[in-house]
Amino acid sequence: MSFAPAQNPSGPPRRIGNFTGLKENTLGYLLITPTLSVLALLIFIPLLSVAWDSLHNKTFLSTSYSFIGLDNYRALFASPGTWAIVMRSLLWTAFSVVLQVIVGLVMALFLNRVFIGRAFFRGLFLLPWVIPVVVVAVIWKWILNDLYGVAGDVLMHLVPPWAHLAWFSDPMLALPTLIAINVWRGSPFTMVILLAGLQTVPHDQLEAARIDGANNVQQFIHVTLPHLRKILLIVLLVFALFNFNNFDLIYLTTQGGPLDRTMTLPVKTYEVAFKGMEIGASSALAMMMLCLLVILSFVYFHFLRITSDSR
Amino acid sequence: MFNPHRKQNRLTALASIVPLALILIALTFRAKAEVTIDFWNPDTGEAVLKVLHEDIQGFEKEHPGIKVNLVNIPWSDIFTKWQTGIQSGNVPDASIASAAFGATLNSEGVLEPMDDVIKKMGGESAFAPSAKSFVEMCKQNGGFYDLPYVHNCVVLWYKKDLLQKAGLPVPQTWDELLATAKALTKEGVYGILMTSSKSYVTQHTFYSLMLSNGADIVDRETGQKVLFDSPATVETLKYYKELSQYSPPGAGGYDRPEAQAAMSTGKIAMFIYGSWLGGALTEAGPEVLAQFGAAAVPHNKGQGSFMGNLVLVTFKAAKHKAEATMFLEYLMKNENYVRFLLTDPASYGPVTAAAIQDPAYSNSSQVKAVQGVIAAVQAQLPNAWVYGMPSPHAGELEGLNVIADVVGRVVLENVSPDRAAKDGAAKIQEIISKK
Repeated sequence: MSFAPAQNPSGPPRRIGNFTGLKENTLGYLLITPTLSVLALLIFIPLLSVAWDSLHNKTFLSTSYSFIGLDNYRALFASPGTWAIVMRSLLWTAFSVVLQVIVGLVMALFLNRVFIGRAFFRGLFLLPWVIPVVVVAVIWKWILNDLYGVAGDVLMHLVPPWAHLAWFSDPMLALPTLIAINVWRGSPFTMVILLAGLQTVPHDQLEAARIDGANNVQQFIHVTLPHLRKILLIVLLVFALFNFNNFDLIYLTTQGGPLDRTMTLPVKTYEVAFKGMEIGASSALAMMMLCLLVILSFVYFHFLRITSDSR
Repeated sequence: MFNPHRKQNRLTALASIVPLALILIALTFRAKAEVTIDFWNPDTGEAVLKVLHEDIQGFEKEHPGIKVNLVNIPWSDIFTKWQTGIQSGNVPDASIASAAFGATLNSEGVLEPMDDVIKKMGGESAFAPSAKSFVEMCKQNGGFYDLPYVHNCVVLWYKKDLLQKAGLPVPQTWDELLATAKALTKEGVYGILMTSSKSYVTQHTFYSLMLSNGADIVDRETGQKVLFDSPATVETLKYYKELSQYSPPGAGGYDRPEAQAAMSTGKIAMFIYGSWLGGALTEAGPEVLAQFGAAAVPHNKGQGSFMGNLVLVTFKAAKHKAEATMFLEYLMKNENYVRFLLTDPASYGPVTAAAIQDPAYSNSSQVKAVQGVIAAVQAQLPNAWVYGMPSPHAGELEGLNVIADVVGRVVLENVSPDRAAKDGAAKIQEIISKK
């Protein structure tokens, strides 16, 4: 058995990196230049600008500012409030993603069955996802209002002690309430993706498992779930990013309150920038968010590679 | 070789080019003769926009050669827009602002003095006595940097039938307010609405109670000394928490829309809130408005309530300062000014004596519909104030909801009023110490 490097079967080996290679690739470079320019304009330059701002004491209140090194970051790390917000952001993300996937999976399993009115339910279940966030926020604030909300009236008959709960202003209830609304809104989308995945599960394998005596749960665990594994991992990453960056739902319902109990990093960044007028400090927060997301992505891809290698 | 078509083509081309050139020349001269001023407006209500458009048409008719470009930017964005405009050299020629934002802009040295406009209006004596504290707020070293435009203040709103049914008078003191709130909290009705959300509503209510107890956030001479942790503030926090017992449990999360909706349910007996609620109640219908009365905020050891306001400003770096000043003078002309006031008399209180005395204002159906509210506002305006003023960081204090956060900690988290006031004072000190 030879360990010699493989040769290009169609001719002599290409000399990549030298002038000939460069000339050959010129057209390619030219073709990707517009894309790179757009990326630079829309992503890299703003990103560098934010990184640069985070090293200055720039505010909206003054036209003059100076370089302060890592002072904005030091102030951030020294504040106990920052870590509480980071932990809350991670909690918000973890609970939202896990519940969105579980609820989405249950809905997908239900809609994967053959029954009359399936198409209608598929459309109905998707509704929360297609409603604009601002409408979702208004609807839920109205439903859960303790004075004139519909939920209060219903709960008065079912669980009277819950009828006048302050869903958005009780410090213990606000975050779980928001997570529940977020799950209500996000689950239909995970449902659609997982439903597409469920339809690729080979029927012959399910049939074989059934003949071997596997019940529904065993079929799901040993046949369906392994087939959905890659889709689930992608959904987990994408939804982790979506949820971590969620700003609109939280801001429109509680603005991070009560007492910062629903304050996450995106809302805090907005508050520091546009209410506190601190461009430098908010840029440091934004960079911190970016680092956390990069770490999350790195962990995910590492995990993905390990699981792929182990197959 | 002679080509008749070629000659014809030349003539056709000439015939096309000459009119085009003439149009271009005309447009160039027109552009040179015309000045366009940018006027930024954060008050984007439909009625306000209608009046502003009418004013612009009238002004342009009166001043041929000057055009006004009305740019509507909501309050949430306008401060950032001013700052980016200042940094890039593209400031508007004139703008509507608030006293707090005006103080910040003035501290940056970017505002054009308003003394000449006020001189043309008849000097400081043109302002009504009720606008005294507002006028003081717009001055620095004896000169005006803002032009006071309209103002209002927080009042005590009450549901007439609930008080009448209980045989209770409108409360005038803190003790009476507490007793009334307690007496009216029964059978699904809450005596008073006390929000503790991190919102302007909470700030307006709490700051009004602070003033009615003789407390304040900073000193009114320099705006540099923090007074927030005074015994009077601590007492106000305790009182606020006491009143909150008679408020709906979810009021901790109410912002303006929920608070206004709560008032229209008929389940709230009283609410310490801005006179601008009158606009929303008027929109809901005259029968809704008629259910409510307004009175001065009950007092304890002081007098006063939070003042909402609009001011007019021009910028030193404006391209057309003279024309912008002419436009502001036009807006302050009594007939135009009264027209603006009548768009929402509960929200837009006059600052000039001429407008108050003008029968077109005082005898109008719009004013008569909210007469009670206007009377309560007028009674309180001399003692009304904007929190954080005269600190140039008043706008930040407002935006960051610092005092609402303090209220939330006391009401929702049971932090001691003393501790919460001290922490709040430290936060305020940190903000106003920034350069």
